Amino acid sequence: MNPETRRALEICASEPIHLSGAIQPHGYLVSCRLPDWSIQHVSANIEELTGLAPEAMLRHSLREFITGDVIQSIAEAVDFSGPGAPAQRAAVANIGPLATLCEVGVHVADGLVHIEVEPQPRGAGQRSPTVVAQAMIARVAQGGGDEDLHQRVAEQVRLLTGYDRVMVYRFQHDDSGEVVAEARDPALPPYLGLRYPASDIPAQARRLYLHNRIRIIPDTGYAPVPLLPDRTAGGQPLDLGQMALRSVSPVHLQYLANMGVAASMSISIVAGGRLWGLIACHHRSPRLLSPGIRAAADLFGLFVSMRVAAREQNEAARVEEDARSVCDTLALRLGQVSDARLALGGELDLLRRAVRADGVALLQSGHWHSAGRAPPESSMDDLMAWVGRSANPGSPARTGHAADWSPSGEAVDGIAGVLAVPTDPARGEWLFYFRCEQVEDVRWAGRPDEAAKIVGGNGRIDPRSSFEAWQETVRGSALPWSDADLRAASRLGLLLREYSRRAGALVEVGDLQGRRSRMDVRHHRDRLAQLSELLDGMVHVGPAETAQLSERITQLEDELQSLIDASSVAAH
Amino acid sequence: MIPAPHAMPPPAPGAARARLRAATRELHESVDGMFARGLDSRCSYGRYVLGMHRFAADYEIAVRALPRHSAWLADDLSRLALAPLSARATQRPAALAATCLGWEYVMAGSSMGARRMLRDACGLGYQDGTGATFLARHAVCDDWNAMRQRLDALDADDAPRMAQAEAGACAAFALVLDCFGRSFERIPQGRTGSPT
Repeated sequence: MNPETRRALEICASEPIHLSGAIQPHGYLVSCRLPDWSIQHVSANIEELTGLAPEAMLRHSLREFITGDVIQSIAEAVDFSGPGAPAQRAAVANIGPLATLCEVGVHVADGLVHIEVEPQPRGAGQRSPTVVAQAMIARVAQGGGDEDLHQRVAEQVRLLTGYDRVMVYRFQHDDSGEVVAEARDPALPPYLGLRYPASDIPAQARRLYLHNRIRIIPDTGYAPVPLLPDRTAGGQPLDLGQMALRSVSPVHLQYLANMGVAASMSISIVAGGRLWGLIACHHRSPRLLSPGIRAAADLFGLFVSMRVAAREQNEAARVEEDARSVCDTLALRLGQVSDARLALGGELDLLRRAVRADGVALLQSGHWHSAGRAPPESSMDDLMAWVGRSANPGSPARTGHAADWSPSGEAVDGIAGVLAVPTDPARGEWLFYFRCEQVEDVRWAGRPDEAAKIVGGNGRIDPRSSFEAWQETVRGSALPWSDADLRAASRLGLLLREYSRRAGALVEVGDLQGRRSRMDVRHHRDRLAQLSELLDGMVHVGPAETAQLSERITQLEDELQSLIDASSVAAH
Repeated sequence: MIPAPHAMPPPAPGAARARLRAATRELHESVDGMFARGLDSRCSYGRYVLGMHRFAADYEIAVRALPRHSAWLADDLSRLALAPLSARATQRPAALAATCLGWEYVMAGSSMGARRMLRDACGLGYQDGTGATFLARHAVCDDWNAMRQRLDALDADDAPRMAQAEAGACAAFALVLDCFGRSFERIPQGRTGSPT
């Protein structure tokens, strides 16, 4: 990626999209402070609804403009949802001098009650969102197994919303996204299987989508409506993160326009606290969905999130069960040997079964033991350098990319993915799992290395204008390690660390005993040397006494030899 | 020799105004330099409205005013289909009355140039209610006369208050410069206001 593109993407990723200071023009905003309902913020278009200029409403009580029963409904919704919760539908009411029939949504943030008002589109259905979502859930749940779940989801959402194209978009481990299911107007080209670079939905947007579950842009050519004021009384920018009407980034609008999209909606799929993916909807002409339909889509999205989360949890549970079984067996076997460290080298096949991997290696006392598909011993230094560079040296580390640890950037002996767990970090002893390279043909929606550019040298960003499929063969990558893989390997690492610690303790005791024995032997040798010196003073003794002395020395030699022989046997 | 206070002549009318003008001269000239050719194109008019809206929104926080100027400018932004410049960092309300006065001096002073700019905007096809609401209303308001009276009442020899007023005016001009810097970035030469 060239430096200019990288810089453009960094600028995009740093844009505070939740502080846009404006809403989309298909609704109105009034923000109040409780308990007196004094109006603190309004959207600049509020006069269209109430017939009153912003100045005439700000710092007045909402009670002057909206009937008590509507305020009561809003108050109940506020009590029910609490601070930080997503916007709730609070009421359908006639508002303003023209008694415009409006949907009223409400949420609490920054100590303010934010009331979003949207005139109800003509002919908007009156079916309860709960009933609609229930029917959709039933159809998806009864439709079959997990394998085509996403396809059924896309079809149901298209049926509900009428968008030209509905996609289930899944984030990959590198935050790029892939269209894994699609329901579309047959006149449109398919996007199924296309990959979008991570920068298309930058990090701050992904964070926002975790909490704000559904976003809609009825007309990408809209003129934003500023908020008055766009700062809190303390002067901080007003956070619009939970607002349904939030005006989006101009770069995003340009991106959609470049794609030929005139209206869009996206629903978050969240599993395990992580943004798993999106249900993304596109339309070629402006399209406004009523808040009721959006509420049904939101409920349906929650169901999809739960299904996806349940599936991921089942998978994780299976991985952890395998790991637990290996740990139990290993503990049993190591408990039966006198030197567990020594025995580990013979248990590599068992260790390999703890994690779904193609191979395993153990680095112990500077020796490399491996089983299955593993890089050669000569890669040991590169792997250790990689674990040393990780964010938390001495903690488990994982990568799906050979470039992270292989100096050539390419797979080594066909290995790309590494999961490393310390078994004795102080001694530099690690357990490694390996996964083979998977050469993948990726079809990108436009060249990812030209995802955005700075125009005119003044910091203005233009997203790419071409979304034509662009083929890339990706090498040097393996199936990414999941959190469950990491947990399983870490569990095993803890067990091995415990055995390593116990063996270390035994070695220390043995060392002490050995030192004592060596000191004793040295002492005995000194005594023998002193005895031999005594012989120097016995030159005058007779033959009988000499023979007796000789017999005693022979006896001592025999006894010493037998003692040495016995200790040698014990040592072997 | 320093004369005794009672022997000093009373401050000349406009002395405080002259002091404020002198204190902000360089900043003021920098702002004027950004629009040296007036609002001679839709591009420069878009830059003006965008930057002025951001300034007005923060100015109203600084002086605790209801959004009047920013509301007019918000209307113009919508007509021009321009997304506002987002609020950055924290804009704290001015703590002292004299500092507020310095801020207000800058906003009221801008109404002087508004008449000429309105002529430019009308030449580009913008009127009150169709993209030039701010200039149309700012140009005919009486803010500057009211400001002159307030400044005439300010004792230019009251050093602490003058310093506060000068600090407020300089902070306001610095913000104007920053806002126009951002609006020039958002709308490069040759662009008339399409979203970036």
